[in-house]
Amino acid sequence: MRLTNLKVFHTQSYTIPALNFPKLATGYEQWLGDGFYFWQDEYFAKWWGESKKSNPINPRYTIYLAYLEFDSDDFIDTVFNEEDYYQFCNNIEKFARKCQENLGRKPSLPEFNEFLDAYKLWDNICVIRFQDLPESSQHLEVEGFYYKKRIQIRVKNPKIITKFVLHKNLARV
Amino acid sequence: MGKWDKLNSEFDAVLDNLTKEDWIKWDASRKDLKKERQKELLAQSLICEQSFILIEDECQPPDKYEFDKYQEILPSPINSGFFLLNFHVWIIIQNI
Repeated sequence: MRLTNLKVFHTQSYTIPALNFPKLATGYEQWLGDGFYFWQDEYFAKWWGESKKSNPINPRYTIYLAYLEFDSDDFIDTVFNEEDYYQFCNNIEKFARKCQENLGRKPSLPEFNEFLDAYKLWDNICVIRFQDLPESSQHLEVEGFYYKKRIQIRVKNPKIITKFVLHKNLARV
Repeated sequence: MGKWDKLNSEFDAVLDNLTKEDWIKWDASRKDLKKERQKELLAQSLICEQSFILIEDECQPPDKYEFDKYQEILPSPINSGFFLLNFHVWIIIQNI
């Protein structure tokens, strides 16, 4: 067993008292289903607080710091591991083709996650690292050049969260 | 067996053996299954949160702990006063 440690950020609206544990995200918006979501970089944790976790009436938000510790075999790293990235894509496309064949339509993102859960696939995978691109040039030092990854970490098993502490209370600018 | 050998073999075994009826059945029940899974996750989350709160209650912050430890060793103002009073009584007795 080889342990992997990650230091990550979790953003939530400002509350009193502060959270003791990250909030479980449920619903259909999350890109990898229900779970605990973290930002790899503080920069995007702050951006998330500014854009989604605060508003002009409640301008304050909180960035928490979390430490994760898990077996490397229970980790799919689609951002920095080439094999994980291509295998991940292959699996999604295999599922999409079968869904098209049998149900006659393209599956949605929630359906992929529900399929994994229903058949207990990737059940031991407690952490997935995933990225998309910054939404606008606002986050980039070079206009129109999307060189920066917006990296998120989805945790399925809360037991691997070894530490969770308040990092910063901030107010939107 | 590597990580992806295992993950792919499990994934393929399920995908390759599902019939059209299985797909339709899954499609009809997937939202209920999701609700069940959410309940499980929420329960796990609450257990972990409770264990974090218990650990916090048991461990005092290091600086406070150090302070309390020294409080036991160093004389408090009351103890110091009591010591000085005894010392003065001892000097008076010696001078009688």
